[in-house]
Amino acid sequence: MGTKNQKNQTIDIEPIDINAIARIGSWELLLETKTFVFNKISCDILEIPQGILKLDECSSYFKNDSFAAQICKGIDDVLAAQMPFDQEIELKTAQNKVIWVHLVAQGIYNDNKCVKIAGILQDISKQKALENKLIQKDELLNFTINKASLGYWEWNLDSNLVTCSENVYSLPGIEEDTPITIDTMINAVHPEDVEMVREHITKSVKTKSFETLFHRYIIDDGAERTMQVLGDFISDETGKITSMLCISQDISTKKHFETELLKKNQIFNVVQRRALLGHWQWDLKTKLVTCSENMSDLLEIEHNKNFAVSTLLKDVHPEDLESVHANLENTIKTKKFKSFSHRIVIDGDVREIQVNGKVNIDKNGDVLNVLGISQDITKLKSIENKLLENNRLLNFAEQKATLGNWSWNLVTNDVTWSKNLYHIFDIQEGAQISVDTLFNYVHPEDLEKMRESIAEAIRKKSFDDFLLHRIVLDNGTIKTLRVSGEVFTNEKDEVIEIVGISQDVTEAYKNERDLLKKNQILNFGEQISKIGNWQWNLITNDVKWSKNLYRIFDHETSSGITFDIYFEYVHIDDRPKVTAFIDKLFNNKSFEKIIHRIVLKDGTIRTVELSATVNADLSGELVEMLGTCQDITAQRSEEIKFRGLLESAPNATLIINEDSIIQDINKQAEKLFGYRPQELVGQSVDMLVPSRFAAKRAQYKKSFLVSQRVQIMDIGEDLYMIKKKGEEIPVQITLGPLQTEEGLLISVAIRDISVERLAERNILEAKDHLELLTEELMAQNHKLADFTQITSHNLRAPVSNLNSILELYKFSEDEEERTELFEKFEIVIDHLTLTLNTLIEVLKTKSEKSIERSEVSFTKTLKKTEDILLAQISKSGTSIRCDFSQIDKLSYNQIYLESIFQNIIGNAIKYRHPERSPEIIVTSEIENETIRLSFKDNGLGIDLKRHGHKLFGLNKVFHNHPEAKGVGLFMTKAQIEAMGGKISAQSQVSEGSIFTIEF
Amino acid sequence: MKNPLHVCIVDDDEIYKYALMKSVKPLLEGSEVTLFSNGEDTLSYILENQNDIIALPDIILLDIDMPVMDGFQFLEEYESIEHVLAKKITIYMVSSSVDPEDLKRAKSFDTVTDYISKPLREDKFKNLINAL
Repeated sequence: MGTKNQKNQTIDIEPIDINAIARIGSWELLLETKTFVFNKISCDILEIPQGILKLDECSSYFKNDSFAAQICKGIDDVLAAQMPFDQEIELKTAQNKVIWVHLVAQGIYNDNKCVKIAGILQDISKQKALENKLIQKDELLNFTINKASLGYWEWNLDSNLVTCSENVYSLPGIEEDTPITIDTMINAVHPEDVEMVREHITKSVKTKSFETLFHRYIIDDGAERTMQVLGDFISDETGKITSMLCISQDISTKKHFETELLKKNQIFNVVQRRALLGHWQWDLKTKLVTCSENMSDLLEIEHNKNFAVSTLLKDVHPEDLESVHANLENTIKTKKFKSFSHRIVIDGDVREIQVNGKVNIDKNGDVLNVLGISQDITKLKSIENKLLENNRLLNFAEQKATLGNWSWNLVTNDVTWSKNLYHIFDIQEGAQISVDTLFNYVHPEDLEKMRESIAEAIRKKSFDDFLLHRIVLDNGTIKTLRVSGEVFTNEKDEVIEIVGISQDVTEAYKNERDLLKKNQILNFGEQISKIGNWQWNLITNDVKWSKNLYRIFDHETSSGITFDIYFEYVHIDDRPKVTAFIDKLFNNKSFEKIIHRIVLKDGTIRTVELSATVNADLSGELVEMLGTCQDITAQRSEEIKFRGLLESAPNATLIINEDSIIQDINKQAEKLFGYRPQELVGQSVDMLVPSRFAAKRAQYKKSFLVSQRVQIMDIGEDLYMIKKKGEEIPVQITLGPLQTEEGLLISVAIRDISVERLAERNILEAKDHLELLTEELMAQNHKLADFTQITSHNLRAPVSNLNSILELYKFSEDEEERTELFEKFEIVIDHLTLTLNTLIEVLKTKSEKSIERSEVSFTKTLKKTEDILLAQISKSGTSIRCDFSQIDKLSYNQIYLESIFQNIIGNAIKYRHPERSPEIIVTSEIENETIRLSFKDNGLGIDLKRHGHKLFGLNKVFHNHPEAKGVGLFMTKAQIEAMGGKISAQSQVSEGSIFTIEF
Repeated sequence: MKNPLHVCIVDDDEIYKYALMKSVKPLLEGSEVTLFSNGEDTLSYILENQNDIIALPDIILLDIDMPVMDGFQFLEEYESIEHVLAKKITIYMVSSSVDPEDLKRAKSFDTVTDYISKPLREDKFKNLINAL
């Protein structure tokens, strides 16, 4: 910046002759004293008193610090940068006036030290205001230009150059930074308008008057824009035109709207006329009606003329007049227009008018006027009705013919379906449909064919006869559709649409196929069943055979046939039978059947069944004989075989059909039931079975028909059949299915099991007897087992001991020892004697067949027991309590009862607990006619887990008691059981026992 | 034969025991014989002497049918204590029972060497002790 040079630079601050207009003042700031010195103009500008002003006093002159702040900033800049300050600043004067000043300040240096700052001050407020205005105008212009799609340009006629606003450059053909001439401008317009514009400008220059010009532009995107150009000429002082100033405005949108409005009006008029519309306005104040031209035409009144309401209604059909009045009155009353229709009569022609309208209301809510539109809907209505009728018919037809129509617009890819087509596809009516919808439903196997057919139709631009394809509905139903269509093309021969009809031919197709199949089956059937038909014209004697009949007789078709030829084929033995058959037919004139044999040319014998009927004329004369002839050779041979089998069956056998009708029987069946075959064949098998089996048989038959297996009939009970004489016989029936050409037959093999039943009964009786014996034997064995135990243990042991001692005795030479041994003998013999006595007594008890019974009393028996055991009772301190309140007396053997009491009470005392006196409680009870007697003690008790199994055994002891012999309970049990009762025990070691006797 | 031998006879039939002792006395010379009348006493003795190989018998001749605790009950208890005993004892069941069930049951015990029907004679007894 060359600051060094500036350091010594001084400014001449000699008073400057300030031009008052220029309003330039000077000032100094003395840095040492911090005082300002303003000259007069400066004081005027700043509106401060003349003289010296202290820097810190500035704020008191200026209501804000703007001046001081700006000055200080300037000073700082000057001091800091050591360079002049030169800026335009906005500040407020001491009188608070906003002004713009041009402030220049520069440091004054003395010995490199800034001593003062000197500056000038120019009021530039006016200049600034103009500048601002200009900027504003510019902005406004630009805004206007943009908003109004305006552009301006000026053509200097001398230089031929054109200057223009920025947006003019956006026009095609006008490029920025390129000199623009008037030709550039003219050539940029729509080619069709170039000449017109050129002429207009030339004319305008010539006449010095620019009339509004309209022309078009084609902009970049090819769209056409319409421009309105206003222009004026600028002349110099001499009146010579120097330039032409133009403003171009894009009025395309405006033009568009205008065009649209025009179009709409035209359309409206057309529509009004076409739709026979007319509008009218009924002013409620003037009570007059004005209407559109069209309406006037309708009413045949002059255009734009007011008229009374009655005129409006003059053509209303007399029958509708009242309702029209009512509707209008109601409109006024409710202030709402409710559409209505009525008829009018014009020249005797009745037309249907639809009236729509609107009610206008004033601020007070009163009806101002009523606006109405009347439309002649006669034709519309009739078309609508016709359309509805047609639609109905079409729908009906579609439904009846189960067909639906469709269209596919290939341009938009839109697909439409008729109502019935939705129904055929079982899709909700109106659901969105596309080409894919159809393909989604097409049967997978038909899909390719379908796609090819449609592609072909598009390629050929025509549909072949029809296309058959299947569809699979959502519920799995398969339908067959027959599709026919037509392909539409545009003028360029491009396919634009295909329309068609899809007909549900599922049923028909099925029927057709069925019919075909049935015909085939019939043909096959004739061959398979070896059947043929024939006709014999009795007048002409002509005979006609079906092809298959020729085949059966192995007769050449070409050889022809006559009755005689036929008769030659008949087996010689059967000829009389056939002749008789023919005679019978002639005489009876009815339907007859005959089986006879034929002998073919090669000698083969066949059996045929001939069925025949006759046709007679009005007089009753036979004119024709016709029938069938079936080769039943194989059947016959099967029948013969079957009969052989049937007869060889060992059992009586019936052959029945599924309805239980007897088809055949064998000799055994004849013999068993006593019926002859003709009495049974054709009858229900029910006649041979008692009716009580009917329900079970029916149930069984069902399961048999399902399983169809050979099985023995099992109805859960013995089965009987009835002979002719009424006798029932037990039978076993074996059923077997026989699949035959006539259907299922059932062989019923019947076996008479009377003898077996008898034997069975005998066996059962023997078995019962044996069971009784076994029980007895088992009881004997049980007793025997007991006895074995007794003998082995209670007899064998002492006997063995005796033998041992005897052995010792024999070889003993010591007398003392012999004496000792002899004592042992005595012990063993005593023991053995006791055992044997007990056994004898028990055996006696058990073998006694009738034990004497008498009425005995528990009370008395107890008393007697107490008397007998008195010594033990008193010695042991035993207390005996009893309760025989429930039952005291019963019929029993007195001795046994006393023995039982003595044994059990005696044991209770004998096996008493050493630490307590015996307490015995004897009670009796009766429950369900059973008498129980219990003996409860508080003695030693018995470990039943350990000894329970031998509690009542002989010589079984459970304690190391010296007196225990194991006889008492053994005896007691024997006595009780001999009387038909039983004894049981409960016991706890050291607590006591309870013995319970059930009598 | 082991010598000296400790024989234990468990039977409630005093005459049997008397006769047996008399008949086999010569065979048991120098041996010890302990007599019991039921299984319970025998079991108590064994338990008391479980660690004493001299006091514990070498052989037990066990009757079935006895008061308090019979032969089978004894065997059931014995099986549970056998493993704590200081020596193995050979047990023979000796009974007058001819019930096959008894025989079968006796043989079901692993601790029983054999079942012998009464009377147990001298020669049979000799075989028993010789087998030890």
